[in-house]
Amino acid sequence: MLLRISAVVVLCSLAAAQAVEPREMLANPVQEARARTISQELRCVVCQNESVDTSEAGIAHDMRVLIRQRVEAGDSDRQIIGYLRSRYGDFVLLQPPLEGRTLLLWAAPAIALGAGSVLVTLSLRYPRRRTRSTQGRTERPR
Amino acid sequence: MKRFFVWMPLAIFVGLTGLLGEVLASGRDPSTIATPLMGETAPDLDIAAFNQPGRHVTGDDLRGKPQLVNFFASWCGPCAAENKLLMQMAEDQHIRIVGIAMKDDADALQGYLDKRGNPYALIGLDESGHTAIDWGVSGVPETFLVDGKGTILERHVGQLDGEEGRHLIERLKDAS
Repeated sequence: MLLRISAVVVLCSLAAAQAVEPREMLANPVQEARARTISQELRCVVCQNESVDTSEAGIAHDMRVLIRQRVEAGDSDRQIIGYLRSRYGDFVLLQPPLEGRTLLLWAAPAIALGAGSVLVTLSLRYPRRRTRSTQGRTERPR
Repeated sequence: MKRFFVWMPLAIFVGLTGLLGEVLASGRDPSTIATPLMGETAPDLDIAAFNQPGRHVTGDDLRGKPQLVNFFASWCGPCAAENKLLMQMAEDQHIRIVGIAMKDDADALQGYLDKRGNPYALIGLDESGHTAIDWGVSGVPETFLVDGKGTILERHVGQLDGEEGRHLIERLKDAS
């Protein structure tokens, strides 16, 4: 059973890594690792919710090749991501940038957590009257 | 306090419905990406020209008069469907259309043009697909309207229909 599970796990992880074809990879492992990190941060523009790294789409393949060419040419990660952002806009970034326009988006979890904490604190500090009125009573036997 | 707890979920519901409803009513199609290149100078070109050995399609080919740049491919169905309209625009309206064949094969491209007709003044071969990425193209067909100075004035994603074609013709007239 354990063998089967581990076989499934191995097969699944292979499937996830399959999009990057061996012939796309760079010989230099450091550069290849950089290229993979960059492509993991970029959205495949035709598949809506997949990174360039994991997508099988043709354009994702072209982007991976382009990213690797630029890495080899000595561009920085920021330059490469900036270049693609200048062509496809923020849509190409899987993680929206933190700026004025997206402040509410980024702050939303903190706001929700804050509001929740206030509500919990208030309800603990001012318990409902009904709860108080039942204190000290013995429960009716069932 | 109790009233607050009763009304709050309703207020959140109404707020969210309003927000989502507005986005839905705006008719925004999330599959079309607004191009940051609008109003900017078109990215430079330097790709081999189809059927003209030694010739390159460059940025200079997009200067002079307003024209269309059409990303297409012989393997693309909507491009074939759009070809008839492009032929009309090129022949009847004398509109200059520069074609960029994305990831195409010269033989297949020749067959496609023989069968459907060739509306293009010039065709560049984007074998790597990197020119398409440079123009922010996500798929074929995609059409750009470039003015005489090489500035992108319009961009259309997908197959052009008659009305969109007429709109582009109007814009081309305005730009010249």
